[in-house]
Amino acid sequence: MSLSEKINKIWRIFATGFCFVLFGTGGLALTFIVFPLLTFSLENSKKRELKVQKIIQRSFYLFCETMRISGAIDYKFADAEKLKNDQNCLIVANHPSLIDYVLITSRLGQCDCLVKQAIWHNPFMKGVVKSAGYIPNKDPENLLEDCSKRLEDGNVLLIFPEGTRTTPGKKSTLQRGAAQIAVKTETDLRIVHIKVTPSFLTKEKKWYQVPDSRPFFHVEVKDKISIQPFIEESSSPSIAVRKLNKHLYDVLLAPEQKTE
Amino acid sequence: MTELNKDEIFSQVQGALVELFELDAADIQLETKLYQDLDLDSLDAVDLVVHLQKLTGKKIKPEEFKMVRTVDDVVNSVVELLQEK
Repeated sequence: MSLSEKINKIWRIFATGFCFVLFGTGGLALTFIVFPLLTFSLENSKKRELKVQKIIQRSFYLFCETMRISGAIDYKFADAEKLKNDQNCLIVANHPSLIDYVLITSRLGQCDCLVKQAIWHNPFMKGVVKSAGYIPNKDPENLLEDCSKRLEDGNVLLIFPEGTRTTPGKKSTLQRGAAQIAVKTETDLRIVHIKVTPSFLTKEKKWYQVPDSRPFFHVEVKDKISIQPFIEESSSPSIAVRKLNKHLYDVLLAPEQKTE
Repeated sequence: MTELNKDEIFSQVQGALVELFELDAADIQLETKLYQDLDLDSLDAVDLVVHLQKLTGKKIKPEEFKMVRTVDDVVNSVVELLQEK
């Protein structure tokens, strides 16, 4: 490693640390300053949630640009404009890094998210996920109903079917939740594929373990999967769910497993 | 409740699992674990409950079903359900 590469690496550790602090303080500032102000100005809870989601998009866009300009990471979207007109649709993505949700949401004016239990206890994030009206991944009975209500309103719902971040080198599996929701609410799915080279902000590494070269996040918005063929060709919904899940695996994770 | 009835209920449950999830009947024994061996998830379990409710005509409480781990547990809870008046 040359001297300039070493300096660049140390700089990226610093920049990444700064971004973490910024993310935390941003979350708290939204929770305790911005969102309470909305509570007074917007009585209607649905309107308020949409407003919060819009603010999240703007903040994340700024945050992503901060990460890029500070040099912590670089990122690029392919076909992001496809997301613009998506309505009443699930967005499913693979989950290689900590900031996948941040990247995708920065391009979605409206986006509900299915959020795992741990985040509802995270002090920096719980206020935000609550204000945005995100859906807790908790009771299976209520989950489908919650999701179907949002989708009927024309909302877009982001899910990472892996359930948590991918562990590099380990064969990933997809939980069937996303496929279940798609089949049972008869909703099409938009596929988003994220590739990070070299890997960064993965599950088993700490944020300061930055790679030798600047990580590049390539976010590719792919075509929609139509749900009807899966339902029509299956004798029962549970079988449609299994077929769809296999297909999701092929488009989301199979390319990854081949290259590694 | 006699053994014969339990056998009947077992074959009903087995049939339901085969029909709902395209499983192999031979893989479904009393000691088979629903989540590990048959790879069901919590939403599949809800489907199974709905199916069993139709079959028995009785209402199954979701909290009762959360304790269920094996095929034997399912059979036993259906047995109990049918004994209730």
